[in-house]
Amino acid sequence: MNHPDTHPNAADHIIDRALHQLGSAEPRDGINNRILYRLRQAEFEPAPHAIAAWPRLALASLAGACLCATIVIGTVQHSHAVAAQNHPVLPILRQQNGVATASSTHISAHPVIAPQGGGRSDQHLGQGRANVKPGTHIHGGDGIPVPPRVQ
Amino acid sequence: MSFAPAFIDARTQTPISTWQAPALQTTMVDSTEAIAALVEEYSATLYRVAYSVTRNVAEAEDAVQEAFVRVLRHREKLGEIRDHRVWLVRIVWNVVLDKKRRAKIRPETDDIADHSRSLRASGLAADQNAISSQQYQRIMALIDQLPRKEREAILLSAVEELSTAQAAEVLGTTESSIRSRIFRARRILAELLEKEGIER
Repeated sequence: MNHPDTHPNAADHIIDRALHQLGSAEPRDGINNRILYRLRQAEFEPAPHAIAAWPRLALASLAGACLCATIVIGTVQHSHAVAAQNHPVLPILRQQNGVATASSTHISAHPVIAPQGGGRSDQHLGQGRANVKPGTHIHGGDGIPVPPRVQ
Repeated sequence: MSFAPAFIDARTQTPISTWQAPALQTTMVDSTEAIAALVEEYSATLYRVAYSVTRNVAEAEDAVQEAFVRVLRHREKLGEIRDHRVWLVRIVWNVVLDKKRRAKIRPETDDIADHSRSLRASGLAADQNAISSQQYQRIMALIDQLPRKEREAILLSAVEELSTAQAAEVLGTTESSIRSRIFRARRILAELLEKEGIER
């Protein structure tokens, strides 16, 4: 690409000359022979494996996988240790091993007590409204309207 | 010198010439000759492209060699290439940018003696319009301060064998974009020179 050196000012003249000199650089004698020799050598060199060009990525992936495995194993072992300390029933379940245990149904460390007053299963519909049995303990702030008096 | 690679006979483990190996595919020989022809035709152009970035004789030649090695490894694509010049320039351009990124090649390492030698080789030393080596080095230092896009455009534009359209193809942009970048680059360079006391 040629830039006609028609600019009268000194700065543009210097820029043009510098670019012209840069673009006119000549290689050392015998460059073609050296290239052909290099190609001849390259014929017998194995092509670099794609993964060898990404050693950092490979190492980082391996480190991440090891970290994830450590976290999962540690979590499973911890859950086993906590369960073994608290509940006599759980020793049966402790026979299970493996990652699946961590994702299986969770057993509470403390027995679950059913709510007093029957709970939701005692509600029944009447005249289009859900009636709550008298005597059912309703916690303050639950926003449940006062049931109509049964007549 | 023709490029006649030797191949190893698997049975005797002795090198054999391409011309003597009966089982070698014709395509292998054809691609070898094609690569040799590309070397003959484009090595100087690729050298100037590489030199425009590296400003170092040895690094530029190494980049050209590396570019042709890549061509050798992808020789099956030779038949598909429409414009070999642009394809090769793009390869060597990526090679020098990779090298520069990894090795942090500093243009200041360019030997002024090498620059003077290249001037003599091209006949520019006798040109009364040739600028001094110090001025040349100063301009190169200012070019390195340009934003990346403008810098790449003006460096490629310096290679006379490349048209604006071809430079645009190498950089993956449009011809008008290249012209705009070159214009901006020259304006910035002129302003920087003006600060140094050289009148516009």
